[in-house]
Amino acid sequence: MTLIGFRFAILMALLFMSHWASALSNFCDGAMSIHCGKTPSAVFDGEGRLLAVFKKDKHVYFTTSRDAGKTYSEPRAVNAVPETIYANGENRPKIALGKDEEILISWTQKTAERFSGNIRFSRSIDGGNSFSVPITVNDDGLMTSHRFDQLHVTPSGRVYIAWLDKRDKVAVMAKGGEYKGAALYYSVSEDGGLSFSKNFKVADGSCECCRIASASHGSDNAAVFWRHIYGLNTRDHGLAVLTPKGPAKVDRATQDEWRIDACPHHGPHMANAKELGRYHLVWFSQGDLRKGIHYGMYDVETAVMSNVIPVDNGAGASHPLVAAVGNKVYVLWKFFDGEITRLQLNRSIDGGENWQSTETLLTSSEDSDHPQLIAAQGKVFIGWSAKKEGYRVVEVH
Amino acid sequence: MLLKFINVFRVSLLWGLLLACAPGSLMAAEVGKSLKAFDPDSFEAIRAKYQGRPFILALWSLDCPPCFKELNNLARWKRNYPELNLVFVATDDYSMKAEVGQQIKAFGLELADHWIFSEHAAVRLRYNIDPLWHGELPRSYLYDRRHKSTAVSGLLKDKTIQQWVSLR
Repeated sequence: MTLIGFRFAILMALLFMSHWASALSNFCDGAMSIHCGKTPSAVFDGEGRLLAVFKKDKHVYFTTSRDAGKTYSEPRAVNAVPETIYANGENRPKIALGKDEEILISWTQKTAERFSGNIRFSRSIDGGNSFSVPITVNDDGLMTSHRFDQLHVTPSGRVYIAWLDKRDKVAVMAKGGEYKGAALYYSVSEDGGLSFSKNFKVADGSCECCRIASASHGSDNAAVFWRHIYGLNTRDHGLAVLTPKGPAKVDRATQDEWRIDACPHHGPHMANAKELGRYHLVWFSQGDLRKGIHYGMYDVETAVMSNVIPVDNGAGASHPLVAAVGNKVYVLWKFFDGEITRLQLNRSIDGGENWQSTETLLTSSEDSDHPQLIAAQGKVFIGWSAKKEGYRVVEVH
Repeated sequence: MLLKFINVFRVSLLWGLLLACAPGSLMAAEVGKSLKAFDPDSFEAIRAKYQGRPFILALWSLDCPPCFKELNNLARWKRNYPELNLVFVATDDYSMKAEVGQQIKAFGLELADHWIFSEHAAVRLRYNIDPLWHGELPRSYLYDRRHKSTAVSGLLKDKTIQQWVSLR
C-alpha cells in the first residue's frame, strides 16, 4: 500500500469511528424516527400496540411499536400539507383512541400572527394507514390565539377537545376594553371525531400558556383542570365539567394565592380517583400559601379539595403528572439538580392517603421533554423523550 | 398641567440621581450589538462587562405574552434613559434566532445587550443563571453597582425600576 493509500485508509477509519461514536452518544441518528422528533405523545391500543405521534419539521408523524417502544414502524405524516406546528412541553400534538379504535390526533397549528394558532384535528379509521384531511376545530374564523389543545375520549366514546382561546379578548379590545389572559373553550364530537359541535366557552380569564389536564366525568362527560387567573393576577387553578350541551360545573380548585403577572409555563395534571366524581390532582405553584408541587383529592360535587400533600418544593422540581389504577396512585415529576434531570416517583397504594418514599426512575444528562404517564389496561407507563437518551417507554410498578 | 409638571420634575430628579450615581463610562451610549449565543460562561461575561455598574438582566421568550409587555416597557425606559444598562436573554431555542432578532428591532431595543440561549442544554443554562428560578417569564434581576441582585418574577413595575434607579 502506498503511503497516500495508507493515510487515506487511516482517515476513513477515523471518520468511521467518529461517526460510530456520535451515534452512540446521541440516540437520534438523524433518521426520521420518534427519537429525533419533538414532543412525542403515546397511547396503547387494545392489542397492546403503542401508538405515538411526534412533530418533525412541518408535520405531525404517526408511528407504532409492537414491542412497547423497542422498535417502531416507519413514521407516517398525519397532515399531508405542511403547516407550522407548536411542539413544546406544554403545547404538543396529542393522540387518543376512540371507542371503535379510531386513532384521534389533535395539535395546534401556528398561524401568521404573534401567539396565533388554530386547533387542528385528524383521525384514522384504518389503524393508522391513512388519516383524514385535518380540520380546524375553533369556529370563529379569527386570526388570534386558539392554542394548547387537550384531547379526551370518554368511556362512551365522546371526543372532547378543550383549548385556550383569545376571541373574547379580540372582541373586548376592539371596544377599547382590557381583557386578562385567554378563555377556556371546547368542542365535542359524538361520532368518534367525524364531526364536532359548535364551540362552548367555559370561562373567561384563563392563564395563557399552561397545558390543560383532562379526565372522564362519568361515561359521557369530561372534567378539565387548568391554570386560571383569579382577581387581578392570582394564577391558581379551575376545574370544570364539560358536557355536550355546555359546561356543567365551573369552580376554583386550588387556593395558593400565586399572584404573578407572568407565564408560569407549568400546567397541572389529573386522574380519576376510584370514587365517581373525585379526582387526583397535581399542580405547581409559587403562591403565598403553597409553594412547589402539590397533590390533592378533589370532589367535583362539593368543589372541595382535601388531603393536600406537598410533593416536592425543591427549586429543581417541575411538571408533575398523576395516574391511578384502582387504589394505586402514581405521582411523577422532573427534578434537575444542576447536573442531571431525574424522573421522581411517589407511590400510594391506598388511593392517595399515604405515600411511599420517593424513587428515581429515569435520568437524563442533557435537555429533556416533559414526561407523560400512559395508562393502559391496568398498567402505567412513562413515556419520556430526551435529547441524548432518545424516547423511552418504561412500565411503572 | 400639574401632572405634566410633576412628571418633568420626576424625570429631572431621576436624571439627577442617575448622573450622581453613574460612573463616567455609563454616559457613553451603548453601541448596537448583534444577538449573541448565551453559553454556560456568558452570565459571568455579562457580570464582568458591567463590573462596578448597575444593570438589569431581563429573561424573556417568544412564547410568553407578558414578556412582550415587558419588552415594550423596558424599551420606553431605554428611550428615556439611554444610559440604562439592559441585558436581555431570550430563553428560546437557538433556531428561533431570526425571530428574536426581529422582535428586538420591532421594539427598538437595538441599543441594549441581547442574548439567546445557545445550543447548550437549556436546563443547565437556566440553572447557571439562577438555581432558584422555576422558569416563569418574564423574570428579571436588578443588579446594583456592587452586583447585589434582586430577582423579580412577572412584569417589572415602573415603581420597582424607579426605586432601583434611585437606590443603586
